[in-house]
Amino acid sequence: MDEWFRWSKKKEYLAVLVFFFLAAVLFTWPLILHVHDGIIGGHGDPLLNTWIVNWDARTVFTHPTQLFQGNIMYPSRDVLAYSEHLLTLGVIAAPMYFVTRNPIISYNFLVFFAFVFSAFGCYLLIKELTGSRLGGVVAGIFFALCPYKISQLSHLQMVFSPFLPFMLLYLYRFLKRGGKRNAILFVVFFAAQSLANWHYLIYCAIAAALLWIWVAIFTRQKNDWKRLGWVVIAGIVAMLIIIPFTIPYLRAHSRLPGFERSIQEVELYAAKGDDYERVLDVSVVYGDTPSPFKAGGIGYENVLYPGVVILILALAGLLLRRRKDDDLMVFDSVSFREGAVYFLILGVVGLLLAYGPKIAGHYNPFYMIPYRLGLLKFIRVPTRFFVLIALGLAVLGGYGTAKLAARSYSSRNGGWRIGQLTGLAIIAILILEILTFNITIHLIPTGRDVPEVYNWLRGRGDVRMIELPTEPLAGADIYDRDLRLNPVNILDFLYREGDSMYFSTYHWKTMVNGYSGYSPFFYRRIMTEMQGFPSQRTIDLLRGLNVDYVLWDWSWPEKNRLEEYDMRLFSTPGLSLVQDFGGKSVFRVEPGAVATAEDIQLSAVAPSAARPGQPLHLGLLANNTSDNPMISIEEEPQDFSLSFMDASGNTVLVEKDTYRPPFFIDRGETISLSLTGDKVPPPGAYTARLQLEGGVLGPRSFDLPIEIGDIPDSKGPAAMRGNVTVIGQPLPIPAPDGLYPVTTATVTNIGDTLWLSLLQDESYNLRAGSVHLSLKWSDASGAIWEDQGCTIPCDVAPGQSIDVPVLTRPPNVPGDYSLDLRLFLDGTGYFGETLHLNVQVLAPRE
Amino acid sequence: MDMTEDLLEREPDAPSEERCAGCRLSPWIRIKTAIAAPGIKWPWAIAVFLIFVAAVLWRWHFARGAKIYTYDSYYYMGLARSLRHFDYSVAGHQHFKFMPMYPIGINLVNLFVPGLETAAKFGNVLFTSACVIPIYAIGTLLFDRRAGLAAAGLFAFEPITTAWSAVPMSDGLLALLIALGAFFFLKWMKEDNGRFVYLYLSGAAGGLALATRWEGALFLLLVGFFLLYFWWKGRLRFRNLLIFSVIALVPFGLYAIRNLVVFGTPFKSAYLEEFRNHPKVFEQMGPLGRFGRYLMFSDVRPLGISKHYYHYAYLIFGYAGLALTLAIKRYRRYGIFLVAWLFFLGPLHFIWWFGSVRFLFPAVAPLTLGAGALIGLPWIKVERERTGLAIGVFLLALVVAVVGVLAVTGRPMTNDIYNNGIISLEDDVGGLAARDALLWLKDNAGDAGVATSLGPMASFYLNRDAYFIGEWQGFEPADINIDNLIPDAQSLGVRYIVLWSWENDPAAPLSYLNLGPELLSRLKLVSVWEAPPSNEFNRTVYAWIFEIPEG
Repeated sequence: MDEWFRWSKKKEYLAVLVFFFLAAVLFTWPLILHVHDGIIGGHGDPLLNTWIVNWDARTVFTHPTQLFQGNIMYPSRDVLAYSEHLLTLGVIAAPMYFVTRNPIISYNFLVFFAFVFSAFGCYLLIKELTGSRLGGVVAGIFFALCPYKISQLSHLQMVFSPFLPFMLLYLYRFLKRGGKRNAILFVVFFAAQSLANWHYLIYCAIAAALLWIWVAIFTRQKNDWKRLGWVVIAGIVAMLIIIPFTIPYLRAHSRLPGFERSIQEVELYAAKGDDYERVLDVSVVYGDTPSPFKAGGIGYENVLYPGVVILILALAGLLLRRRKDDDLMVFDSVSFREGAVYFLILGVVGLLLAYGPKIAGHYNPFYMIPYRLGLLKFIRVPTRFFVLIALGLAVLGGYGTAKLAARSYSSRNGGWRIGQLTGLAIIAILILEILTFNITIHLIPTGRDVPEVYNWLRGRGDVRMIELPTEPLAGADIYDRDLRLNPVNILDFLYREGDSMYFSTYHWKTMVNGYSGYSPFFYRRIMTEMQGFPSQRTIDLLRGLNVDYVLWDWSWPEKNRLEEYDMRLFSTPGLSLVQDFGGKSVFRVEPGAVATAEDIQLSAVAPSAARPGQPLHLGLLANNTSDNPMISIEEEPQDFSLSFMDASGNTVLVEKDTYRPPFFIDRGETISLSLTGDKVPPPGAYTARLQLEGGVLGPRSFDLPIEIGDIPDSKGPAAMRGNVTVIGQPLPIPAPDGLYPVTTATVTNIGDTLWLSLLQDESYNLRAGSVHLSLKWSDASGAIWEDQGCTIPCDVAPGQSIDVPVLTRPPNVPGDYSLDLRLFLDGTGYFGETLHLNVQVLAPRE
Repeated sequence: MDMTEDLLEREPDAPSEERCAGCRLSPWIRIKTAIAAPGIKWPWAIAVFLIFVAAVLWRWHFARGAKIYTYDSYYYMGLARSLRHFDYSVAGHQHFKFMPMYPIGINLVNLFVPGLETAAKFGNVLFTSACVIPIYAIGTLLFDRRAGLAAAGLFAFEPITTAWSAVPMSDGLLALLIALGAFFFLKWMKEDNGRFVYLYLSGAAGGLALATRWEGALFLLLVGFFLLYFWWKGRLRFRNLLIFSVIALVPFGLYAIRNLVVFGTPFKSAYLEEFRNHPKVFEQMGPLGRFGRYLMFSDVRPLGISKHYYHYAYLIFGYAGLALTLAIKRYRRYGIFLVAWLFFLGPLHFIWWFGSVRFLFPAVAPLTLGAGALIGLPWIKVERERTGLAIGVFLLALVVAVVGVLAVTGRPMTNDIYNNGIISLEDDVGGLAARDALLWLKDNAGDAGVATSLGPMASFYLNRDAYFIGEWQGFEPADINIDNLIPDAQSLGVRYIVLWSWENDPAAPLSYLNLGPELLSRLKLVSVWEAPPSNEFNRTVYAWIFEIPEG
């Protein structure tokens, strides 16, 4: 069939590629007009991906060992592993990057590459399975340009699927005909697609494994079994290529909390039934979203409506059966079984996985079993399994087109030419139904339009910088632990950080800014602290981090604070103007001395009593006694051991665990560090010996008396009684906003119940049963600035008193405030008396 | 698409013997034979009937919601009423703008639908919906039944014709007559058998279309070009042309004779004046701009109302289908006719200064036929022996699915046009408040004279002539001079004047006529009617009835 194409293979492929390119141009119009200075999907993820692919392109050929040490989110390590590394994309974009030095061209080149070659791969796959070129075009168009793929234009890594069909193509060829070349190309495309995006590693693995099983079920010949064996070896080879690139991820996973996706988060992004009614707002046909359709757009994760044409074609592909005079390949039963039926199964698997942990509220074992096995823990958005559905529909639609074209019959011409016309018309109908047009293009400065300051930075040598001010943050509730980053406007925040990352591709200096799929503790802490910039504390922090330059953008702060910032920037010690670039000014952070571990006075705190069988929460109080800030950029958890000795000095239990080292202790500040022991010995009186085994704070040892007994704790129903005291009134806070250690409070347990502390969940919230110190800022009118809390360094036994360093975010407007301190039992409420403190937040000029 | 040049050669519709046999039969016998033919045709006929019913119900759903109509609607209904008395006037003025076919049609519908207003509304719905029948017939004639069915299905739910058939307007009848004329013409064009009855029927339909709206002339012009071509090719004689022309011009000729008798000139039309004196200030978009917008089936600002530009999916399917018909040799000459039909009745409207998406009404049929030609895949013949019947099921499923999608996705545009074009009339020139005021007057004013600034609406609701205060629409002369309101009214025996405003202030309606509030001291306010907005497209409107002091 399709004899109409009497071209050589080269001409045929060229024509098909040109056709797919024109289709991509049409669907993304007017991106082609802005291929050098515009992106689709806003300044968030597209600019993150722009940074990644250009970082890859620049680094992989020049400093390959530094690939994962991206220049963002300083001082964290392995930052590329916080998102997809997109290595394959970087390699493909490298020539474009080195020739044009325009990161946007590299990015958009990949967009078109992804569309064209995803379609082309599918075309070749269908041609292999059915012999139909027109079916191939239908499949290619749908797989590359279906509404879901267009909705993912802000996630290049999802659009980039060209090697999935190529991998299947060569797997098919190898299983059918054998041949080293096919096996090698299977491995190459498997690895290339997997190294483009970890999601696709799963998709490729599922697709290849399912095909292997499916073929194996029907395999009888010894030779065929041999080939299946070789496929296993090829798969292992592919994995051997891929595994080294997982190491940075595993490294980061081992040292960073919250690096895997929680079930709650996954459920949020799992497909729901009505997502299959969601259409694109840029769709020519569905754009106005009449009922029963739901509105979606570019950047949405759940635009899963595929259109009706492909569904009918897919049904035709499955249901039109061979008639006695049908001798075409598309009606061949083996092709049908290994092609159409296999892709139906693949699509169904995709459908089940896209539903995530629950299908219509019921447990979904298809997702949850692999999740529990750890295979899907890095996946946040199960709906992305729709790619497998799209591939299944595309191939079945290709079968349907091939069959309809083959059955097209004219009383005069005998059929084949009519068949081509049918195929062309189906292509037209499919394109018209899913066509998108007039997509919003976000213009990005490139070349000469890039602000001058970034070119200036390029010539600065090995320096570190930060772009400020930050986008305003809302309250994080608790600031002395693994605090959450909570921008007032998340999109503005991400867009601003995205811009910073993008512009860094013009200078590649190490910078504190950035954003990715994961925000490390350092980043969250620094960004929260920088709300107070330029306070002395923030400059201490930047100095301790060895940050050389602050790039201050005058268009970012609120207009009514410009004068204040102007005054503070030029009067705060440790900061000096380097150069003014119109809307942006560069300030130098003057270098200065920093404190060392020896300057830190360390004491350990522990409950004097604990319950058997319950974790034990201990604390370290670290006081910086020097006149310099102490900074540690060690992310690696620090080892400690906890041993329990009975009255006779015998060690009855030894436990080893880790704790997070301190990051920043300002001059004179005391912070608390938490340590948890999972086990305690049987009831009795013990001495707990806490030993820090080197690392940031050096080797230290503390002996703490502790009695293990059956006392009630704050998780169960109990009478909670306690009080809070401080010595004297706190000093005025020198500047608004940011973070500030306002005082040290003492909490005393005067009840009969053990207070548990630090039961933090994955979202950094304290769990029910934890006791913490509540802080409430209010002004003279009673208006509340924000509710905050402070963790208690360790569990507190009845009758015990513990010092609590109070780190708080003072109000962002200077003035006189009341700071109310009161004990709070999470899940229940306040208890004990409220302690009122009068705190003054000074205006900067004061 | 020249690559398809030789893909499909022109196929005769039937073996030559059969065709010759058909030649000898009269059309009536052929129709009877067609109806009596056994087999597969009845399901198709039932399907078309169901589409027609669906089209009627769908349009009536919108028509029911329309409470206030355009000025034109009131003229049409007034003319329909006066025609019963063998007169052709509104508010006592001999009429010379709207042509009589639609008022005649209203009276015909009124024979079996009670109430003039309901008959007028239902008439437009009925005429518009009935278009699906000639559209199906044309689709079947040119392509195949699937394509015809697809085109008919698309037309049934098409947004422009749905929204604008909600009020009594002549567009539906015009579209129907043009579709019928096109069907007969294509029938003649396709059946190369020397019989001209279909051509003359086409002329008759075109002539009636011309007597419905002036756009009918565009259809006759279109057919005229084709006829000249066929005359040049020797397919018809001058005699045939002459007969066609005579038949086509008879309806308009009768109207012209009436004009000659009443006005002393056969070619008196308000449109001529309107075109000559149109306010340039409204013409923000030049002819080329208007052509472009009509090409996109978009509304034409500043007078247009729809915000839609490219979400009218009918357009891309229609244009793609028409391109397909031009690319395939077998369909090309019919494709040329469909494209010409679309352009003559659609974008060619750019010559008229006033713009509205409504003017594209008669161009929708060729658009849906183009779309039908694409999604019906008409060249695929389904035969039990050769292809199996399953393929027919999938092809029909494809048609139903795409038609369904376009019908559903066309809904926002339908709503948009309907709300902005029709529902928004509820506060226009008194709107609902004026209607209520006039109905009150009808019941309570007896035979007292009434004058109004509300145009023909007043005469319609009063069921008798009301005088015009000032000129109306630039072509109706003033019965009562605004500057001499009270003396003129007194001299004509007017007791009540009905005015309107958007402000709850009795001086406001006078200010709309450039009259000062001092006049209020000479008028007695009878009552004021208030119609609050029932939707976001309107605001509160007031209608005022004042009593004129006796002279």
